[in-house]
Amino acid sequence: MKSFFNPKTIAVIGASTNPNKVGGILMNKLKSFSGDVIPINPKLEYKTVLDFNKSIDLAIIAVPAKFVPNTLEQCGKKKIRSVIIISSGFSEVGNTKASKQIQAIAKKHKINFLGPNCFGITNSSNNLDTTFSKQTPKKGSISFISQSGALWSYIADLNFGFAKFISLGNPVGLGFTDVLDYLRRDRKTKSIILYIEKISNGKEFIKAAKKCKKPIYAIKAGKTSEGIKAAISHTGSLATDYEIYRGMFKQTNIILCETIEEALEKASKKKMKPRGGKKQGKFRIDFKKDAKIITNAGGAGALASDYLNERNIKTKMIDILGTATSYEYKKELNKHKKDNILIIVTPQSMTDIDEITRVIIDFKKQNKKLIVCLLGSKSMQPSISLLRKNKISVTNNLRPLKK
Amino acid sequence: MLEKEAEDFLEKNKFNIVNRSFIKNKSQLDKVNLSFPWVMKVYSKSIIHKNKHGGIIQDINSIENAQRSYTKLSRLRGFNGIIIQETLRGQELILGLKNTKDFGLTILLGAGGTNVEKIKDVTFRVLPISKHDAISMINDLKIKIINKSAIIKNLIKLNKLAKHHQDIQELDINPIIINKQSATIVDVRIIKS
Repeated sequence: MKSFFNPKTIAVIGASTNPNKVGGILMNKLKSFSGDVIPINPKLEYKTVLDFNKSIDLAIIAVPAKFVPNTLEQCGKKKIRSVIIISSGFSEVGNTKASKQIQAIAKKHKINFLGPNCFGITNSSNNLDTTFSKQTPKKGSISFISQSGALWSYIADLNFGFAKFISLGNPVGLGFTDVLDYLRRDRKTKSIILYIEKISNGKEFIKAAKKCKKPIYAIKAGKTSEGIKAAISHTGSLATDYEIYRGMFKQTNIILCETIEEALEKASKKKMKPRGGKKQGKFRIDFKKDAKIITNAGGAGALASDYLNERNIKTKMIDILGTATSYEYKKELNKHKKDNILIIVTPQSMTDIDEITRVIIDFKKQNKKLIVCLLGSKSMQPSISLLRKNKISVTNNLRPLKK
Repeated sequence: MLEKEAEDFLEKNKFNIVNRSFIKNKSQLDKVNLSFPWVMKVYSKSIIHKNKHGGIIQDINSIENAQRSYTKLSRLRGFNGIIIQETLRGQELILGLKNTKDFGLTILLGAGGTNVEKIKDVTFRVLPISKHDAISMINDLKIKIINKSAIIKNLIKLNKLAKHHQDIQELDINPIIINKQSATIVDVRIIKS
């Protein structure tokens, strides 16, 4: 995995000069990187990676899903062994055939890849940041492996120091086991946080976790999912996903945390500052039965859903994706004028926070049953103050949702 | 696998099962050599939830009572015979195995009885487990186990059983009854693939 974190030359496939496009955001983010960054695009000098005559250590693929197999094939021919597939539109939307196709191409060319639907990686020691978060956090010793990429844009906005961040994207390419095996030997990493939705190679993961001598903190989403209802045996109906993970964490000395905030505090041995002091206490959840969660970060939505379920509030998550702007928020809100609503916003590259804040204030005039999580610190503070002035129940972290 | 076969299977694998008899005929009651009080359970290929269908009668103190109970159980649809067990008193626990897609076989320990789902005092581990894991499972529970070493032994035995029978999908020992001297299995259900 070394060439993921310490590449000399990076190719951005699907690079763009438009700062609002994925390929443009990536090029901007990589300006602070100390190595060489080669933009690849049919409209530019290098149409494919094969047109570049020196070697490439890491390729970042940000082209539409249908072009990914061919692009990966070219990476293989160019002998690029490490690839990050940012492109979405695979198994997360039911396209499992394409996932299998890229798996086969990667195997043929011995390519290690993250994703697809990967949010990117960071390495603070060489200023490498290929993610879509607004902020890059300061250098530190925590590393974070996440099955939800967008959670990173929240965490990167807080005042914690990080060594590395790895988004796993869809569980097709490299998984927890591979990355954990790397991080346990990484000198810059002193503690590790995992955000887990599902581990597919459980036995291998347990082996890797047992070998790791650094403290590992885990957050497991899907707490309230039920066991097999029609199970014939008691064991069958008691065997919920969460209970099995809880036991597995004990066996591997992984510390299970209830919230992402708890994991950050434990890993850094530092308390999060409650911004706005006592005003934080004003956050109230004034609905009881059910709620729609409108979010631009799937992982944050999944955790919020767990916390509300624990309060016996039924939830339905509407993931409007990391590319969502005030337009998507407005469009989705207008469909739910009579519902109880939790709005979650994480600060990603395309998130127009000021505009979204205006949309929320407008919407509040029509729908009183509304609570808001603006997840972050630096990027969110002005909007939080503004929402509070308008008497909207708002918090900057997920913890107040918990019972 | 039905209760009778499942109990025989565990007994063969050196688990301690309650003293019991199996009869298919009322006249065999006289030859049953078990001390009262008895529990009588219907043996049936079609009745999965015996308790729900009135397939279990407890606190049987005399042969006359046993004969009446036999008549009652024999009228149940799907009747194939009767299991008679001695009654045990003690702490009721549940032990189990469950095959999962992501981790393979897992093992469960918890507070047992008829409403385990309501009490939900349970803990899981992924197999194989060590003695250290078994002890930590006991410490996870809210209830205080009155004979820890007997439960550790049973957890380790289950661990070994699972190793040699990877086709087990679900195994449910509920309850295993423990007292200061022993741990005895009273009911078991096994689903193999």
